[in-house]
Amino acid sequence: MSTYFQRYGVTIKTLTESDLEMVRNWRNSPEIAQHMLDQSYITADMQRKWFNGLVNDNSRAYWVAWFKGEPIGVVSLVNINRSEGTAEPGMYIYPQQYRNNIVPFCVAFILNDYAFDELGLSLLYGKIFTDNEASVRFHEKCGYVQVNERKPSHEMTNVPKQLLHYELKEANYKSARDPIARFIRY
Amino acid sequence: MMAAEKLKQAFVKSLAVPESVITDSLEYNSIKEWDSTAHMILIAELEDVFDVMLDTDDIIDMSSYAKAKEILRKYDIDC
Repeated sequence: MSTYFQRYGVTIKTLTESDLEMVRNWRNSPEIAQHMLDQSYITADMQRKWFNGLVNDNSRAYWVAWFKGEPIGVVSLVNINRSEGTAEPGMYIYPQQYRNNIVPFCVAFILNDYAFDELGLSLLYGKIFTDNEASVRFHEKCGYVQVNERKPSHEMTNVPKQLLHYELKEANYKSARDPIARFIRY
Repeated sequence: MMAAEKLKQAFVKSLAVPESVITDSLEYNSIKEWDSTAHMILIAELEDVFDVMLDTDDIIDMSSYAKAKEILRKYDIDC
């Protein structure tokens, strides 16, 4: 898995031990945690055990996303299945000024490009809480299609809310990406 | 149509909100309709209506209706 990948003005760098406390603070912030399947408070000890579990685990990869020389969020691929060509992506952006404009698309695109172009995957899938309308719109704009089937999940939700299941095929992604990527002029 | 009216209508169309919502104090965190998807629909509409190509940093900085006017001024569009 690459430790460094750059596109759309964004660089993703493999999550390191020195990132852990920053990422834990982001992840525990209410504005990020409210959209997570597991909304438990994460202690430093829990975070370290989770990080140690990533070593030698080829089915999971986490990166810090950098924009304009600043770490702004986390992107991930879990349940990576090379033989089936599938994975479950995840992302969040912490600074408020980068959440509601073109930057989330830049971050999603670099992750999707990495999954499809570098890893050679053919299908990404995920779940969104039904009340997260912005995320639903965002994923549909990126080419995701709602499906009924239940894919395996890397974590079970501890939140009593309904989930929508989405899938992204490579061709749908590239058709959706290009009309937006034309605005990324770095 | 005057530039100011074109701008207002671009916001109405892109954010799918009533005209009464479009004021100088409108900011992208202030209403749920102005999310990242609506933002990109808005940018496409502005580029089309005003026949401009916005810098990506201007796309990011366009965080309010007042700011949109200020940014368009850089492209010689006075709203």
